[in-house]
Amino acid sequence: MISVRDLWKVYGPRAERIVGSPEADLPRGQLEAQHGNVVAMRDVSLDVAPGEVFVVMGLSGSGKSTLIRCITRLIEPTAGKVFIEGDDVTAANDDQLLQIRRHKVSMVFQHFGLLPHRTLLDNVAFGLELRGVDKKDRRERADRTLALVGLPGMGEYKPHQLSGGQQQRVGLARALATDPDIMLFDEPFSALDPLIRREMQDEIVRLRRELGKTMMFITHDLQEALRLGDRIAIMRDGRFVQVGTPAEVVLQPADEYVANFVRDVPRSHIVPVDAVMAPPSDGPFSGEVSADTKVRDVVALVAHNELPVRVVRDGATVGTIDRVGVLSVIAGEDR
Amino acid sequence: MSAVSVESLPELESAEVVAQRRRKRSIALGAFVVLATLALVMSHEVPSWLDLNIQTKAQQAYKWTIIHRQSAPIFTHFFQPLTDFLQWLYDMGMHVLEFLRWPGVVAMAGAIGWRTGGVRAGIGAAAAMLGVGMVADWNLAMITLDIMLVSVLIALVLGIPLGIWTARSDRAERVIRVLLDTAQVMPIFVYFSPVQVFFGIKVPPAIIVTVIYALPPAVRLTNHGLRNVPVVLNEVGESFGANARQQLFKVQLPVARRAILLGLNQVIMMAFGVVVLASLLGTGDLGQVVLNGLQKQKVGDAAAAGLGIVLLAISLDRMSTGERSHKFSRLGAAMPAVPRRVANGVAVVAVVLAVVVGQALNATAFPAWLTVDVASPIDSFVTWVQDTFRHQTQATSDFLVTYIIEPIENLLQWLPWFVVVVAVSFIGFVSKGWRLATGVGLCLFLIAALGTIPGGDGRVLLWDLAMATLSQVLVAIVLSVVIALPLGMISGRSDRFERFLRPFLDIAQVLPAFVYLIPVVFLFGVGRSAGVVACVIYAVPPCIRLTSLGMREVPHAPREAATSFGATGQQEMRMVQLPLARKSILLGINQTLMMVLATVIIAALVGAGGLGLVAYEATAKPNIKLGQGVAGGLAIVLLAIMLDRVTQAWGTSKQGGNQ
Amino acid sequence: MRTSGTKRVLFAGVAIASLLAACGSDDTSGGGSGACTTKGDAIKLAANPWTGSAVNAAVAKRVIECNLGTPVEIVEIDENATWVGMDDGSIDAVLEIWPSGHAADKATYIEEKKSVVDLGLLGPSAKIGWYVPKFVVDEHPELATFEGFKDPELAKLFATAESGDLGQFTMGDPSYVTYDEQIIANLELPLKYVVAGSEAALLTSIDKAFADKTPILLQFWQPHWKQSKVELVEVKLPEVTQACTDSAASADGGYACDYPVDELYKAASAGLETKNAAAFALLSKLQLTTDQQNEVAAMVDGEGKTADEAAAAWADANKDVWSAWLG
Repeated sequence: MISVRDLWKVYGPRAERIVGSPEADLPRGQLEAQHGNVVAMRDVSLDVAPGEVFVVMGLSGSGKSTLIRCITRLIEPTAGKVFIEGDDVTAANDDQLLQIRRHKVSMVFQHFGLLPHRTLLDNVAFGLELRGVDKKDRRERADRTLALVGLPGMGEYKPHQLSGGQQQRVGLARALATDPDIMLFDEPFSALDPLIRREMQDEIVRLRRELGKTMMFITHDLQEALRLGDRIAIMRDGRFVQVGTPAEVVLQPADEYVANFVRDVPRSHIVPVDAVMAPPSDGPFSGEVSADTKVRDVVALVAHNELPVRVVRDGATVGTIDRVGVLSVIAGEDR
Repeated sequence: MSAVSVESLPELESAEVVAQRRRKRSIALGAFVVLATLALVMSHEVPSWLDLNIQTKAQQAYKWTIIHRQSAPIFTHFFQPLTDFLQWLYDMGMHVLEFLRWPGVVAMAGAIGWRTGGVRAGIGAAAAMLGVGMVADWNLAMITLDIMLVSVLIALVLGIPLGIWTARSDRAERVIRVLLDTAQVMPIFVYFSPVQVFFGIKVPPAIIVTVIYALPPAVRLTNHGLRNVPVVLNEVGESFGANARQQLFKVQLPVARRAILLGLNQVIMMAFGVVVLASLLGTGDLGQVVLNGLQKQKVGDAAAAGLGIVLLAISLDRMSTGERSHKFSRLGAAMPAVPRRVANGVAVVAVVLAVVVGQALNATAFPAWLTVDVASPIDSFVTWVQDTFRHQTQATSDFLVTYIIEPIENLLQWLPWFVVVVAVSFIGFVSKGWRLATGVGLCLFLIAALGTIPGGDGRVLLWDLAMATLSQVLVAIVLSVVIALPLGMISGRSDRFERFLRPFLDIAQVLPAFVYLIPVVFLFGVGRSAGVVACVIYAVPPCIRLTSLGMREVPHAPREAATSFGATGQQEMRMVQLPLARKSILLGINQTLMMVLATVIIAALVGAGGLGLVAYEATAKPNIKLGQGVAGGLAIVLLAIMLDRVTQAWGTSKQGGNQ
Repeated sequence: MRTSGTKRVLFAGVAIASLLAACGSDDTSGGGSGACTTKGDAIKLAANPWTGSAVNAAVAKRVIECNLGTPVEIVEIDENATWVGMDDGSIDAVLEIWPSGHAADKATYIEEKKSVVDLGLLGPSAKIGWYVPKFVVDEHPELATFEGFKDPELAKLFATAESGDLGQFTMGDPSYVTYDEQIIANLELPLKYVVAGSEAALLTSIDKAFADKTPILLQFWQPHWKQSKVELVEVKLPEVTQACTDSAASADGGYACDYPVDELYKAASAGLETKNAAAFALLSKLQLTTDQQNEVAAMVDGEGKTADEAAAAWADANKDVWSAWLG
């Protein structure tokens, strides 16, 4: 759905000349002092499959916000290509770009980006309005979308009357209302309280299950990345240092930087049973779980029963896991 | 409902609350309708018993001061010593400037600009100062510069403490705000003659006049800066045990530094706005050259001197920005950082060197080979403009008078005075509430109470003159906004356009209005439309600036969001940026209004009549007409306060308050 | 901290520079060619913003400096501020007052407070009146007198957007004396009185009228430098009568005559006689005829000389005139 190839973003005078040159590897301060350039993103490539949630995680200044803005050219990349459903976004003319923004992709912003002078309904209907949908239709759809995100019948409010979490539900509704194939999330929950953030993450999980959108999600919160992502890219100094499934990132960190990040992550929350199960054996079993069940979700089964649990995939038994297996994963956490 | 949130939803206003508000509103409307009908039944004209006799009292007070100015203790013990002190300050300044000679002054401008604002500011300040000598008489320019420096100094010495006081007391703020509004809008002509009686002629009264006019921004911006110190910083100070004084000097003033510097900058700009008028007092400076040029119809001469004044203002402006730009600058990046001490040393040495060279060459006069004749090209340009456009402009002018200004004026004068009071109060009520309604009603009531002046076949009500001025002011505001909004919007979105526009705005703002009076009369003919044009020229630049600023201050997030949903640039502007800049733009319009009212007096000099003319006559014939002038000036101030408070209420109304 | 540090260093620099320069500076009092050496307290003469006033002051300066050896300072100043200046002695004298515009000042300062003294007539007289361009009278000879303006059709030639159906009568600076509104009303002329607001606006209106050959009716006066640049014709108004003089004095609104002739006079600060008796005596005797004043003024307005240069040239050629002012 989304393909990115060798994408660069360099700020400052004559930025093209820095791309791929040895100067690009100079320390940040030196490059700025000598050439007046800053490299925000360097040589990033990625592919997001249909229906996948691809999370980009990094600290502030790592280039992740630049990356997501380059997808729809809110920021013009300096070099490289972006494809959406096979169309070359980087080569699109103004009109084609508007069509892509209006029909294929929508975005949810960190600071919500709601229009304070419009009612919630008109905020949600904004994308449809730009698309030229007539007033009655777009308001109907906006009304339904508001209900979908848990704000039914609130269409006549103004944004300032809502809490931050509620405002972001509106932001979400606005992105959903145009029914795009792809949704981009730029740290959408970082400004929210932990409890609300959790709730919103559940909302994303639910929407994804119900609507099956392709999503690219930016965050600086590892827990969030692990909860939502099918795959996670760790970004640092403008480049990807590791791309993989949550389990891969946690179990096989690519370098010291990533390892430091994931040190405190409770493995049992991440690791599926098939990653640590024993070979299949004959029963008796105390129960059965599917292969992608997280280890911690087996705890209840093995806690009161000595017998192992059968692991099944597509109806076939692929292995077993018992109390010792579970405990060793949990114990291994504090290495 | 598929998701149950941990947050509770806000409740919609109950029907009852809405109904109650509606009821309140209709009661108010009813009251106004009843009052208005009553007014219609009542007398059409302002009744004579309303006259507060302000004119007679002011005239008597003026006469008393003339007779007693050499004997009364208030003069011998206060005004005379103060006058001497001002003269002494001026003389000191002149000694320094004469000693520096022109190379020293140019070098000094560059050095101060460089050390406070960076290389660019330094070059700009020195170049502008050199330019002063090139286009205008250097020695006369130094008189202007000296008066400006002393006035700005005094304005700061008075303004900053007043600003601190108003920041600490809401009550003081309310009172002083009215005084500042008065200082800003009260035509100088009104207090011109009294100032002479109190401070004599030539330099001291010129300083006083300049200080009165230039003081408001010093107070306002200090107040603004202090009130906007983030709460957390005040808490930091308090938590570490700072006392009130330490809090002020170690936390608040340093944090408010930017605002205060902006205030200084504005004080300088305002001060330069009165140079020409002040020269009527006999200062014999560049302003006098402008007046002489005007008297002899030598537009080029007047414009050259005017340009000298503009360059002087620009030089001081560059010296007082006080902020180095920290942008990507190849020049800045390539240059090794010079230690501050070394740089200061270099600056001092440069100035000393310039002074020594100046003294050695005995450079008392600005060298003739450096001067440029700008008067002739300006003359031919003005002649060309006049010959090319005057038929079209005259036709426009006639249209404006016949179909717009005259009907509005007739309507306002035809309406029974009390109906106007009631109607404007009602606008005040709808805009904000009872308090504003009372305030603006009171303003108009006071105008009605100012009495009559001789004119026509007998006596003319000041009320009618106020309505004449109001009609012109309204037209001027609408025109200014119509011209300024699009330009402001473009410059709010295009850095290039803003850079292109900037020098024009600078010049339009500082160039003395007297310079363009003659072309305006030639193009538009004497009369009310020439007056409107004069106001528009003066009011458009700040309106463009503030619109542009308002557009630029719109938060990035909603604009980016709109773009991400496929809004075109034009859609984004229309649907997001403009609505969000609404408040700032309204405040810009509010400022425009104050500028227009401050220019009413200039408009009178090209035939606009009305209150401006009444105020001017206070200077023209102080012995018989000062009282009338005071009344006319007061009426202008009252109109200004009324219009200001109403438009300010629009600008600050709650977001989403109106659907 | 930075700013104050900078200032301190700069200040120190100025101090050093002043020490350095003090050694080399000498006082050379500048002056144009033919300036006379003077000493003592300067006499301050006001020059109001018109050529006549400036040349009177320049001539007096020349004669006083070269014959009494007293320096004279010319103060360019507004005519109303001149009275305040004479009141407190910051201006010693003014040599051209138009009586019609300053009756109230005379009453207050000369008659009531006695801080200003009348120095007698200057010599030239002035006259305010109604004027139209010559081309107007060429085409409509009846407009040479006020009677012609009684015809609404002719008056309408002067109509503008400001005056509507009536003819426009243009007044310049409102500080100048005016009976025009009363004259229009009392002679029942179909004219509308419009104030241009300033002399500059009035002069520009004249230029515009001549450029487009459009009729204009205005209040103007003699002497004025503009009179030699454009051809204006004075409109004949009814002779000045005793009734009009009385009406002017009582301000009853019944004025319906021509303007009286203004005999220009001089005035001085009451303190001048004790400050410099010789100068006081000279200024009292100083007189110029209209022709003499015009001669100097022409050098300024026509030949582009400064007032000082013109005064010097005239004084060199007219010793007999000014020697009568001495002794």
